[in-house]
Amino acid sequence: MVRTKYIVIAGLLILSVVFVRPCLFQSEKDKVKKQFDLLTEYVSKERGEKVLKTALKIKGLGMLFAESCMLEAPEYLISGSYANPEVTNLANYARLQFSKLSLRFYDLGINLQNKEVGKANLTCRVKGILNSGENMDEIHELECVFRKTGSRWVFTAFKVVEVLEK
Amino acid sequence: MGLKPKIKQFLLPKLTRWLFLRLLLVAFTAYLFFGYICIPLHIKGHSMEPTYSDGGINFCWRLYSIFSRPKRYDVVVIRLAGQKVMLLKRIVALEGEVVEFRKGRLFIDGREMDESYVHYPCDWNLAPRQVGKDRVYIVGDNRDVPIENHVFGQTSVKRIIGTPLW
Repeated sequence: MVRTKYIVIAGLLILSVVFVRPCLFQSEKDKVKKQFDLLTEYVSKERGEKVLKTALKIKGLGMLFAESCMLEAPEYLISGSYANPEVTNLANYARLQFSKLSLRFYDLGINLQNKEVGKANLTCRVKGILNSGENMDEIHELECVFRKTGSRWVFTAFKVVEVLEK
Repeated sequence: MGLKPKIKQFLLPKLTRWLFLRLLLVAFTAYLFFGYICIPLHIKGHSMEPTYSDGGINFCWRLYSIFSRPKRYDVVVIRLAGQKVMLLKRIVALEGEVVEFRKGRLFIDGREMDESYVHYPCDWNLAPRQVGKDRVYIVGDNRDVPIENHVFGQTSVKRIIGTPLW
């Protein structure tokens, strides 16, 4: 009976550490992951999204990127260094083509090279309905570079990895 | 002991410590085997028909590349993006070879190849191109679609993660 009590107390302590730790103590990797979560939230779009919500999302998107960002997506004719306003304009333009858009990241592998720079490899799935009614569902592998600015992590490069070359 | 008690003991065993240990061992072994050696596959798409049908179930045998090098005509599982999104295709050309399609017929180094696994009509034309170092050229068996709509090309051998079990 006493032994069971100690086991239960130990179990509750372990569970509380597991659930409370992420809230109180965020590692740098957790902070980076949060930025990716925000990116999916700001890019995603529901049908009938209000103009104000769009504006807030675009503004939020701008804060996730550095002053200039390298983008490499040859399939979409995007290649080179883009200033922050250009990145948000691109994102806004892309979102406008869709009535509904969902962006999800999978298999996020974060590698912090030092306290201020890191790289990530991830899978991104873009599903949506174009304004013309056409469905879109694409999956790409991405390489991303980010750096720390103050207390925030910002993206400095995104590259679509070409898996198959015809 | 009669048959009935034995059946009862098999189906409803006594909950002992050893039973839990055995269950744990079985669960762990299954996790390792089906997670890292023999991965369940759910086939989506028609690009490998009639060899592999849409909706089919199979397993990816990951020890494929340990016992042999990739060979022409091998059907392989390619890591497309992350650890969960895969392509199922057939190797048609190896490193250094020149691949070409003329009116739907495959040519390797100028020689027409026998492709008895292609059952549907194909009218593809693809200019000659050489397969790079440490790469293979993969194509689906179902070429009854415009060439632009078929996902194929050369990819790194490192992306081959296994072969279907049957």
